[in-house]
Amino acid sequence: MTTLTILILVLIVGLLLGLPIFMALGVSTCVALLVTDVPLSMIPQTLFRGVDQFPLLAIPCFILAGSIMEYSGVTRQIIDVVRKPAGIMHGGLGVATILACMFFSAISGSGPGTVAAVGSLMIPSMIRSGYDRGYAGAVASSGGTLGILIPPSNPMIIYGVIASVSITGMFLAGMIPGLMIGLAHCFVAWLVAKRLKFVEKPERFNLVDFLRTCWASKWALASPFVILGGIYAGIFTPVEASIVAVFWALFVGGLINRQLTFPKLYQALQDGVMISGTVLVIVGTSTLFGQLLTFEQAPTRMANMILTISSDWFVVMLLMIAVFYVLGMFMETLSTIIILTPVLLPVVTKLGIDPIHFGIIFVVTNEVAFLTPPLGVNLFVASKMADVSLERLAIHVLPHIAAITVCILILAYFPFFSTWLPHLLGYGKF
Amino acid sequence: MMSKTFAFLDEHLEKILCSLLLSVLVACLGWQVFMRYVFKSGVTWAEELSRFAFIWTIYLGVALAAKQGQHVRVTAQYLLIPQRLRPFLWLTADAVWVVFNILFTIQGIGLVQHAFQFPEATPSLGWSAAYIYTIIPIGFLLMTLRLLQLYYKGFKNNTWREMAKAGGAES
Repeated sequence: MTTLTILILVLIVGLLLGLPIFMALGVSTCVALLVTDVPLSMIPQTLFRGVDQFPLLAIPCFILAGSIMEYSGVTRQIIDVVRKPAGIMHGGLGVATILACMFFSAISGSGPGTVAAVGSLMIPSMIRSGYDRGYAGAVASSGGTLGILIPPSNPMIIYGVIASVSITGMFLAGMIPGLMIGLAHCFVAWLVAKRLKFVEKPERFNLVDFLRTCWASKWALASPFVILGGIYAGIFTPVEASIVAVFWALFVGGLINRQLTFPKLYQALQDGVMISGTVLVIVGTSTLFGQLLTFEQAPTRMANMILTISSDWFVVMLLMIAVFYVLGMFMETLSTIIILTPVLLPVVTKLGIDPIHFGIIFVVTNEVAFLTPPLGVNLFVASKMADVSLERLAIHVLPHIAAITVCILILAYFPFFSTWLPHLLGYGKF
Repeated sequence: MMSKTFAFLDEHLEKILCSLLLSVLVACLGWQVFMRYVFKSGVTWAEELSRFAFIWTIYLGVALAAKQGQHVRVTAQYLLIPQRLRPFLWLTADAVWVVFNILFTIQGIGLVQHAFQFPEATPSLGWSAAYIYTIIPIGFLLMTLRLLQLYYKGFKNNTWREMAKAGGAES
């Protein structure tokens, strides 16, 4: 058996056995190393160096900032604002949920985090107003997927680090697709609510009242501009922006809203720690795994194999999207990006696909992964809050998945939706 | 008194250490941003310290996640096998995990020893890199202990069968 066969075989057995993903990667590399003459001492070295990547520091910081804001009432203020204009139509609360998710996505970089923040307030309020529980859960879990597409975004940071693509470029690229998919979700939420005829009296829109609410929530509303403005203007690197986000969250939560207590801050810190201990460690062991893959020239071989199937970039792109859909049912989203990016990037560049474009497609397909059982993290979060079964929720999100799929096909075929903004501002163009 | 302290550490050790490390990270980077934009001067030690705090957070967080059963696994295949077999498969997976943890701990100790024999100083703080590297064996050792502790409690209270999850759902 070749080293590569052992590596892949042990990985698959490890994953099937139910080993944590980071350990399955570590174990398979370790076993494969035993048949080569590379000393095992490369393991601890790479585990250390693999995570010693400065841009990754932004991830726990963005999580921390998002949690502080959530625990100190910022979500509530955002919801108060978006409810006003959404109230005039059918399914107003559903549309408001999506809008609140879009807004919160511009503060947070995590999908399930966004579902938890917005869903915990909007799901009960939808159920109280007579909406179906399945609908309430589906809207919150679908809206929450925007957390990773509308910048800041944790998967984009990881993709940027692994693929050596400008993270600021990725953050710019996600904006238009994010708004597009957000509006698609709003449309679905409105359409389904209209079809199912939820009894809810549309409210009249009162401009003065709306402006008054906006003013009352001004600090919360300013958050995305503070966080993203600095990155987009080229003043802050993503890590600096994440730090600014933390201090902004402390300022708004502690000094303006005065709702931030020590236990809440401690809990927010734990949220940041947990993503480090569960996901970022995967970056460490996958660096190990990736080194051996590269050593065995696996990415190049893989690229050649795919190119024998088709050398048309769009066909290959569709093929990859299909693979991501299937993997997304079983794999945690960030793990998919960590493992597959080094393997697929040579294919992408050989076909002349812009790595930023591919990155966006990768992230968008991960939105679907959040919604497909058996492993659909957003569904887990929302099903608990809406008190509906996972199966029922999985059916209710189908229209949303259809909407995302249509958007993915458009985004895949027309790269300019993703690349126009970053290229305009000089990122990722050579 | 002793047992009280021990119980407290058992519950909070990683949580407190990780929270402190993450706070150090935020504080250092905050200071760096402040100095850079207000006084136009770079603070390289802050960046280095924050990087070390980050790596330490990760490998201590790994033990915390093991203790809380939060690690990311693929578990959909568990739905396909009979319910009473699931705990045994889970136990096998965790046994493999522990064995390799011990192997990684030993390798980690080797890394630290090597770094003490051939000392290298970190670029801006000038610390001995060996001390920073200790987190690799510490993290994997602590994770091993946490796993063994989980199973010790599980076997003692006969609850170990409930640890297996299927389909990724949180129990």
